[in-house]
Amino acid sequence: MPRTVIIRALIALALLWFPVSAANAQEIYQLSPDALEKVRQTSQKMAPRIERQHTHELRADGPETKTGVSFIAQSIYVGRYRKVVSPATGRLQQWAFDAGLFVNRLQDRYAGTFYFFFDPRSERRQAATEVTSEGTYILVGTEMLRDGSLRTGIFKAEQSSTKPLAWSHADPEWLAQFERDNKAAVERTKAMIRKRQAEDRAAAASGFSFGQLLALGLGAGGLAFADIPTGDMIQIGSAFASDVLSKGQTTQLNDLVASKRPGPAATTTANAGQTPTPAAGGYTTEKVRITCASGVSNTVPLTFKTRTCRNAMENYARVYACNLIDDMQAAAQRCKQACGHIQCAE
Amino acid sequence: MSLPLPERKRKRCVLIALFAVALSCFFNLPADAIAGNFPPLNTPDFAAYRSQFDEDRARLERDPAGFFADGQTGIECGMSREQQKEFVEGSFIRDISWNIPGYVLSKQSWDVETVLPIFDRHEIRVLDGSCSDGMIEGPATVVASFVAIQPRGQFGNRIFRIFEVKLRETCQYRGSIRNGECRRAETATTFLSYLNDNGFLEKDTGYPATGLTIFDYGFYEENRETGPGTSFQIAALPGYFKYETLTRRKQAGSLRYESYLDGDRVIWTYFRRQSDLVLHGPAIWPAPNFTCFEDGKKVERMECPEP
Repeated sequence: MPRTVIIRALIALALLWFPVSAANAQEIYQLSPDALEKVRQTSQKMAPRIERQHTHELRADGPETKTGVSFIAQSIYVGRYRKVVSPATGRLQQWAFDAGLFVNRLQDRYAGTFYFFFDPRSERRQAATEVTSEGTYILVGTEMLRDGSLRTGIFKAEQSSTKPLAWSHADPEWLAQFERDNKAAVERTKAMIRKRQAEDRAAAASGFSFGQLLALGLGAGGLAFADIPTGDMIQIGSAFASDVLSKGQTTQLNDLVASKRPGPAATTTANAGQTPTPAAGGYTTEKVRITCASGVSNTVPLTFKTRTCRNAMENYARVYACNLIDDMQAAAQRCKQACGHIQCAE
Repeated sequence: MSLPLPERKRKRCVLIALFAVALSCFFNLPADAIAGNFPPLNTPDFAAYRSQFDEDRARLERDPAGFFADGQTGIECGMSREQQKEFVEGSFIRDISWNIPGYVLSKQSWDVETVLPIFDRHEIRVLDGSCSDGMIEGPATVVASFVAIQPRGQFGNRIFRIFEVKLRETCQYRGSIRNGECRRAETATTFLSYLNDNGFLEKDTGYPATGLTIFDYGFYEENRETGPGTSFQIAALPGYFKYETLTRRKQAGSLRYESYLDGDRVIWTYFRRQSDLVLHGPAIWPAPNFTCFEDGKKVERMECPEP
């Protein structure tokens, strides 16, 4: 057989073989037998075991909430849980994700505030059979994929007994349809959100759609701390604070979502502590540096008329940028006292 | 809106920018490193560390293989595998962010158990110095490479972070233990892995590997930092570089630490007991905000005096 024919045949075989083998390739990390055995022993010693599906390690915070870790199939949830009761029958109860971080098997992360809705179509059947509750999760927060890309917004996932939670973006059309299909449950959730928020804020939001109301929660108490890089958290929090404090004149949150993560160093240092600049209409602009307990910092632009309001704005920016959930209500109250508005608008 | 610059000025700016980019390419540095992202540390107690760092960093970036003496065999030291392993276990410099009180608090609040890493593939060469009974004695320069496998307990028992580490250090040793002034450098490539159903570690190729370069200078006793010193760290993260510095100096039976991020700002000031390096005293982030520690635990105090 001519040599060229053999070579061509070998190349063809290689081409046929390579994609299949590459697709199936799993990169095993080579260790010595001793080290591998230690890794296995360490894995076994570390409880809880991830292969124990639906294991929850929780401690009670109160009658309605618990905090801890949940191992669901090969995914993990870290954060707070809230007891939810099925609305139609009242017979189904579930500890649902409330505020925390969900990490799937592939290390994609979803952090923020979660809302669980029982599936009204199957609730009665489930109540009778006591199988895993079926329903829908809506997440207001951030998606951080394993390639490092970051997106802030509203996401949805279906809960069922047969497949793991798979998160996808919830667009306004889907939210509107969901609201129509789950009118009663959505109304209850809206009421719950309003209850949680400051009184004035809830009143202002009373005419909002479900999507708008959820969006108000963006950045507020939405970021769980576990293993999210602190630099990312402060950027999200700062962007949210900037957008709120500029009364919607900036779109930093959207910009952050749309862009790749910027380097934290170069963008902020030069402007920190700059001299306040007079702006039109008696307003003054100033960029202030916010530093969180984690050690990371970022810069937030402020536009204000009075010094008192400026200080309230700085406090508001720090609370949101550093995700100080417990201080958010107080920050809004201080804004109202100093500026006459719960979001420091003058 | 910015005003247009005069033509000559603009050309000058373009030339400067091009020069900076060319310089960064030449030295294989990120462009923002040219601007300097480490504090000047020009006080007498830290200036020498900063100079050593500049010198060592330039040397490492110019010729990494030469810096780690790749291909050199070193002197015959007769270290057994077990002795090498013990040396490596006391050598791993972790991400310096792990030491700041914010991280300690995070670990406490999540009840994350600290599990020591598993070490493997260790190789040690003593470039100069002397050995006795397989132990390094006196002043010596050592290069080492190893793998550290760090369990990630908070995410279950199958997730491990792997550090592929190279180390070069010049220290005073007693029985292979650091005792005296040290000049240390470490590079690590880190990535996540998953213990699969067949009991093998599977590299997570979907999540990008990150890089750490750490330089540490200062006084050690029994492998622990007990005197003045400084650590410099460059973390190569997806899309950007992070620069951190941590200085330490003695203060009334404690070590006073000051951390810097990207330049000359002090982010954290905190104290560890010199005897056991446990957090003790205020952790200031920055003043007047503070968290108080006693015996390594956060305590509520209206006042928390410095040692």
